Amino acid sequence: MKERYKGTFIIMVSFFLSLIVGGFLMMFYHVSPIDGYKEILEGALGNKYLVYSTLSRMIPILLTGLSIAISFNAGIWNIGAEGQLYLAAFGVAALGVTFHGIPSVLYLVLGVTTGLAIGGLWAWIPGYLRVKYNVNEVVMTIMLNSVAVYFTLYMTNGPFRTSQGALGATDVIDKSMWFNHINPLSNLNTGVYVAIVAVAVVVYLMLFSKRGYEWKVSRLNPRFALYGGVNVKGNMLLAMIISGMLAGLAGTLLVMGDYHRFLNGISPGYSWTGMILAMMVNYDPIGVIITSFVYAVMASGGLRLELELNVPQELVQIIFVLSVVFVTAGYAVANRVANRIQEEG
Amino acid sequence: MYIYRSTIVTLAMIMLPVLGGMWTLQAGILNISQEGAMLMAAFFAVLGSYLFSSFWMGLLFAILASLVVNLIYAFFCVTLRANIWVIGMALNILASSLTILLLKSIFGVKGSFTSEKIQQIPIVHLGNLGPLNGIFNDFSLIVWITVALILFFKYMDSRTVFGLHLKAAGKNWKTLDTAGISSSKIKYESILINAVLVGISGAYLSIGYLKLFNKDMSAGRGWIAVAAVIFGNGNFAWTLIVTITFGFVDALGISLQSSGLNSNLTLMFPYLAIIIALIYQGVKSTSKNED
Repeated sequence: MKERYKGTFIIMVSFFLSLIVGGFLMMFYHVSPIDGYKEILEGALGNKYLVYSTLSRMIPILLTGLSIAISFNAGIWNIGAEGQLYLAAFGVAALGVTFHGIPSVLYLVLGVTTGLAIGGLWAWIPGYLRVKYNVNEVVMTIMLNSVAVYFTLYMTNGPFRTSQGALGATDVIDKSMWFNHINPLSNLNTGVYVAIVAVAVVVYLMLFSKRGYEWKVSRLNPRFALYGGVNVKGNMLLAMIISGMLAGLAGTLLVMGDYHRFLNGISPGYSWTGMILAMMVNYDPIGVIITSFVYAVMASGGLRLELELNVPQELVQIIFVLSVVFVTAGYAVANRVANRIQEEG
Repeated sequence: MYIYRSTIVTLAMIMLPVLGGMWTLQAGILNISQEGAMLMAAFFAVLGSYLFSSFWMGLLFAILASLVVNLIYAFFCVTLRANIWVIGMALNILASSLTILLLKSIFGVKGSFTSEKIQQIPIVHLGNLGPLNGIFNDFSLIVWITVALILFFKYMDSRTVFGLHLKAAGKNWKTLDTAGISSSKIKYESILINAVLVGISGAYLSIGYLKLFNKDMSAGRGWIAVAAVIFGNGNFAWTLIVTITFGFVDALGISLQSSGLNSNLTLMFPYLAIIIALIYQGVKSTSKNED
């Protein structure tokens, strides 16, 4: 338990430090940090509709963040969440524009299942190659990202090109496949309930199940895990598939809930953001939930920051990347100090 | 001839990060911040060339930017012994958002910047070579620098003490330390050499054949270099072979494009080639182990 407090402390201090650096950066744009951060908070949480928007922004980041957390935590590096997201989103949209007249409840289930399946399958490929043939999963998933993105680009410019005006998108999907917007002024939609269920499952798996313990042990000490009778490879593959399913779900909800069609730029790098957040909290699912909320607030507010005070919204992402860097340094230094104390004692 | 020339152009973009990455891998560090360093270098090449209207300044800026990224990487991976994936990915993501931020703040544009004031890296015209014109003439200066560096590194790799130290640092750093040579220093040196190479390739990306910076314009080239390095596993010849094959497939894709194949499909080719190569290597080495 003490280890955990130490981690939380390092993360809080690191985040605070990067907020300070972010404040200095704001001063380059002749904006006082206090005004800047106030603007961010108001832009994200100022009224009910803004809160809805912030929450809807949080969902894909949260899901991709958990996707990364569950795989990294198990010691298999799924950098391919972006590709899994794109392919699943496209697959769901392709389904939704092709078939009509299916009852809504059935169609919603079908859509989500398809998204999960595609995401899981696209992650299974590198996962299987990793555990069976020891093919480096990082490079493999990155290559698969490019393949997935170019494939969807081809599809939206070729067979699934929309006839409804917009470029680089599919047609709007069948209405009975829509997760309806909760409020017309924001993208928040009923898909959020699916996301909540998924998050609950992941939190249970990672923190409260035997499997979650095995994942962690497999990452921290694979030999010990093997000795203890843990199926390390099987666990890795399972984590990879669940990771892909979560990324796929993020894409699915974007199509079925937010946009009701597939767009070429459907993810402005959600999985990279998710990766930053997961790394920042050392793959702790609760941590991911908290940081993805904080990130969503700052990203929503960042839009306002750019519009009102002319500070580029990328500043927000930079603040979080700096946090990861500080956290990494913090852990390294803390471990060193601990080792030194052990050696001397 | 067309395929040959476009193979060379592609190769010039990825050969240098491959060489640099192989170098650091030999010293025991897989450098995965290549993509970020390349992107930063590409941006700063445009900035330097734009400010001074000189491609030399563009190159210098690019190399300096790449040095900064690589130094951070080295500090975390060598000195602090942090996880390479975490810090590498953080740097890559940082480069992506930082270049967009700088693009907005310095040039006031979103996504893409070009200007007449940017000076391109010159193209070397060797005079009339007759039938050899197509093979040697009118390539960018960077192509020739790359060729020279490949030869130089081949020499360093097999004939010098530094090359040996490098491999020792990778294979057994304790022995090297015991012999009185700091393995950390060797690792730092290899990463700094890599930084210069990646810097040059980043400059080539933005001011080599073009005069512009696009957001995320490295478009996975740094990763392809990493893939080639992993595939070659420190072996000079194999690394070069896979890189050249990649360049050829890329060029083939571009030429198929002109015969009517959808460009988004042909853009997939090089990635598929790498995937197949990695699977082949994995299957081969696994079955060898089982024998």
